[in-house]
Amino acid sequence: MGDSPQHALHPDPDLFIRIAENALLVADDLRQDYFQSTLGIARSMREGFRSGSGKYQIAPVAPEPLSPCAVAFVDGGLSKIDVGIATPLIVRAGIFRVKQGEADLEKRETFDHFPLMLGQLRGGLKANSKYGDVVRQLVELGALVTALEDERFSDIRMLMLHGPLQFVSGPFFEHWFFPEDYELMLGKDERPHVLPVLSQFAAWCGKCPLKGTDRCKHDIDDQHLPAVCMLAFLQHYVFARAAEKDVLLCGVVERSFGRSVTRYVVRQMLEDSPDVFDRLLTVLDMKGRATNTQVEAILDATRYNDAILLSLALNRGEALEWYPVNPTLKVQDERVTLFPDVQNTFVRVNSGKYPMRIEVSASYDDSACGEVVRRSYEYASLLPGYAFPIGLDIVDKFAAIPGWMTKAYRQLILSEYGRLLTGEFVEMTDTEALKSMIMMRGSGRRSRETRPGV
Amino acid sequence: MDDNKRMPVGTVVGVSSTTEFQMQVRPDAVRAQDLVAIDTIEGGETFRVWAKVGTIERLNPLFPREAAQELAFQGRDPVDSVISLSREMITATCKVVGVQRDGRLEPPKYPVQPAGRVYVPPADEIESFLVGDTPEHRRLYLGTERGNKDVSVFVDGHMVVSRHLAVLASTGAGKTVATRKLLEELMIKGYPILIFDPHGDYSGLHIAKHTEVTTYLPEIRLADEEFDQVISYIRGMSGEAISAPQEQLLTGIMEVLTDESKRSQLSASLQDQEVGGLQKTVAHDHFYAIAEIAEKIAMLKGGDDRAPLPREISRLSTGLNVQSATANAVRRQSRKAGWQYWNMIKTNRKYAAASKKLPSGKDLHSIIKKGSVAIISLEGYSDELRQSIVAGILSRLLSERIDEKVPRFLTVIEEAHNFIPNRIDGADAPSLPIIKQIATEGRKYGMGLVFISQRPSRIDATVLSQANSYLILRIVNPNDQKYIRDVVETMGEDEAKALPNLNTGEALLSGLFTRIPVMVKVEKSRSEGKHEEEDFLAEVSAAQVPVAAEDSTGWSNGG
Repeated sequence: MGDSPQHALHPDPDLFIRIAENALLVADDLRQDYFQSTLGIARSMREGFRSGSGKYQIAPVAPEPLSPCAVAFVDGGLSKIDVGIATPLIVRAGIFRVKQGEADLEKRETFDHFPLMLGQLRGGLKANSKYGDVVRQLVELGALVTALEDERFSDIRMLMLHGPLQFVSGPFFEHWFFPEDYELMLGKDERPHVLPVLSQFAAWCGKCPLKGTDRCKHDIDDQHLPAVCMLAFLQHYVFARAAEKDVLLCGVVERSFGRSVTRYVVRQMLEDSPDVFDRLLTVLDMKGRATNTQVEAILDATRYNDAILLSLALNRGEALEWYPVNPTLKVQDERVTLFPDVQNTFVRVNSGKYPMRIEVSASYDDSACGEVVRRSYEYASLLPGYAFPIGLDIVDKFAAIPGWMTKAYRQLILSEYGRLLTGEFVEMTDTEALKSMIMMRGSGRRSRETRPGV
Repeated sequence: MDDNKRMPVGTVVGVSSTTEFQMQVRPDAVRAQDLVAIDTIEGGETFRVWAKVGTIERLNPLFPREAAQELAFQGRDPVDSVISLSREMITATCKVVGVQRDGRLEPPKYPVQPAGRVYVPPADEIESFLVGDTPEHRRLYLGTERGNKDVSVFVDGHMVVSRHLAVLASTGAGKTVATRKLLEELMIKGYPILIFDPHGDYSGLHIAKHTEVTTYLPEIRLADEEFDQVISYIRGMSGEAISAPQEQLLTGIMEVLTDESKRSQLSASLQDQEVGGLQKTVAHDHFYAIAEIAEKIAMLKGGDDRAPLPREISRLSTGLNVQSATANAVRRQSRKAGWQYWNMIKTNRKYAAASKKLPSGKDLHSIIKKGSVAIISLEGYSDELRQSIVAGILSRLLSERIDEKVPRFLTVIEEAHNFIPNRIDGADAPSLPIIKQIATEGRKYGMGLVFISQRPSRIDATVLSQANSYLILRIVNPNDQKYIRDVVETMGEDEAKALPNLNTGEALLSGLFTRIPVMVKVEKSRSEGKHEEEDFLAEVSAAQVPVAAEDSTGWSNGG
């Protein structure tokens, strides 16, 4: 009884509330069975994981202390303003490097940031809802490149990104940019390593298995460089450079609402103990259908996802065995195969919070994976109320676009609109606006960008 | 203005107003109460806005409490974690003092510019700003600005001597040293000073070269006192309540003692009654002369209280005819007062070495002279006696001053809460009415006052509020802090908050004698008091072998 799902939920009031909220969103006729089936799946997961009989297994996070090291954390931020329509405005990526055990603050910590006005870019489908996210991904990858190339970060043992290493989404595949857009996104003007890195892109394309396709030729003729190609290139680049420099590279996701683990477990249960879903399948009118179809119907109807179910399955201080990420399940575009392979795991830091998901390169061995989990767990244990690595929380605050800046820029734009309406000639480029913003933000190393108000 | 000499300290942020602004500060650049400046442009002209740093807040927004708690649980040093320790935000709130226009300080009419650069002006410019247009001959040097040792701080001496100054501080904060420094500066100018010194704190002023410093020893002259005052002395020094019959007898005895003819008649009558004549005089034996008569009356009444006193005695004063118990009580009270008084006199004479006897009433004016300091030694006296002495001296001198028989002078009252107590602590103090009168009217007669106290809340509020200048050192007692805030109009909230954290010798100057409230590190006075901090244990150690060592010697010898 001690291992029952009800027992597992008992000390997790937060999680219970989340499941209850989720239950309110499922169809009314399913709600009666929702708790029972959710707990049934969780029980099956717990038993399966612990018996070692299934595809996924769990293991406790090794408690041995790790030697102090230098770590860099990277995160991006995006702000939008509402001037008639919601428009992405500024993208920023920040880097926070810290050397544990170093008392001299000058040597201990390094902060860097990459502000980018989206108005500076010529390419991209600006009306597309994922436009800002694509640019943010590219700017974040630019930050990872800097963390690996810039001398100021040369001592890092670990490089941690706030978010998945492999972030692919269908709408991403529609975007393209001009070469100078990528230079801006990577910060060419201030970073001497950007052009040498980008200069390797052509060579990488030369080895691309999709080279010579019509789409590829068409893009090259128009100088339209697809964002996914650059994303894939940069991911390969940072994976390779991290490996060369013996830097552990990982991405940590705060709330992972993917379904890969859940999908597997539901399928297993349908095969091993179909009676758990008997009533549900009847209501959904899925009796007798193919297992794959039934699984997807159950997932859609119940809104089950990995974060919720693994919260029930994992105890505090436990991690799922690493398993590969398969992007082809989400995206049907052939270019998805260009991305490097990654593997991921879930780690539970606090019994009242969702487990965090960690991604690393598929090439990492057990030792590297173990160190990543242990360091991530250690950093997250400092924020038990958030259950997420504190270094990422710090860089998140650092890279966040403060509200006052967005408001100020909105005022500026409205003011310029006003002058235009009165017939006054206005010449203001985004570059100048950016300078104004940076000036307002305050200059110098001790800038006030994280101040909650002004 | 030379820009190169300015030390930039911060940048104006947020909403600025005509009364205050906030700035983000460079680490370690300023301290609370420091003077800073920022330039402002009005009508095309640049003016300097002066401001004082109030509260300074320091925050590391990237160091959550939650993480600190975890580190504490784990017993880890934050340095060993991955938490950021470097990105602090230091925000200072500055109170605008005024805009400097052609040397004048005016209230600002327009806020300072956000993003404006705040700086510390060169020391000579701050000094010149603080001095303002005070003429050279009126300046008294007190020390240096607390946050900037290159800035000398002067106060306007005219405002000290012509009006009233309150020196307030907790014990040991340096109020007496600060006052001595101020007095030494006044002595250089030759201004007459009268000091009521209960603890010998000003004995060191004798080292002054060009000033005549005299310590006077006041003594009670019962024959010159009002009878009520004599009764008051006896009540105070005996510690006993005086009943109506006892008051009647005391009045009767004083009637006789102050009239030589009556005294002779009483002495003769007492001899006739075979209880012996009078041996003691009020001039020589003070309270014991009263006790002697009371004793004789008790003897006369001892046999039968109902029998009246002989006519030749009772006709000298109706007050003499009392019961024996009353006479005995008066005898006891007078003796106690006499014993107490002689003890006080003995103590005072011991401490006030090289002192002079305080001239009697009509000659009292002689102690106030240009280029001289008169110290009235009150050591050893009870509070009641001190109050009476101060009241008597000041009443006489006020009268002399009104008649212009003495020059203008400054009176320094140490332990002022004992002489001008508030209503709760002693509204009947005899010194209170005269000091209150001088505080309210003294200015027109040229009688300045300096009140010094470690318990400001026990000072009469009316008198304290008459002070126009304040020299306030560290104040720890919350009641005193609140009292000062309520009474001192020129004191701001931030300044009041800074008071408990001042170091010894650091003071806030506020009021008419300074252009703006300023924190000063008072220079140590050249003179010292008689009871400066001594290391009593060191003295004992040097003088003798420790008892324990003697004992252990005995043990080793088998003793």
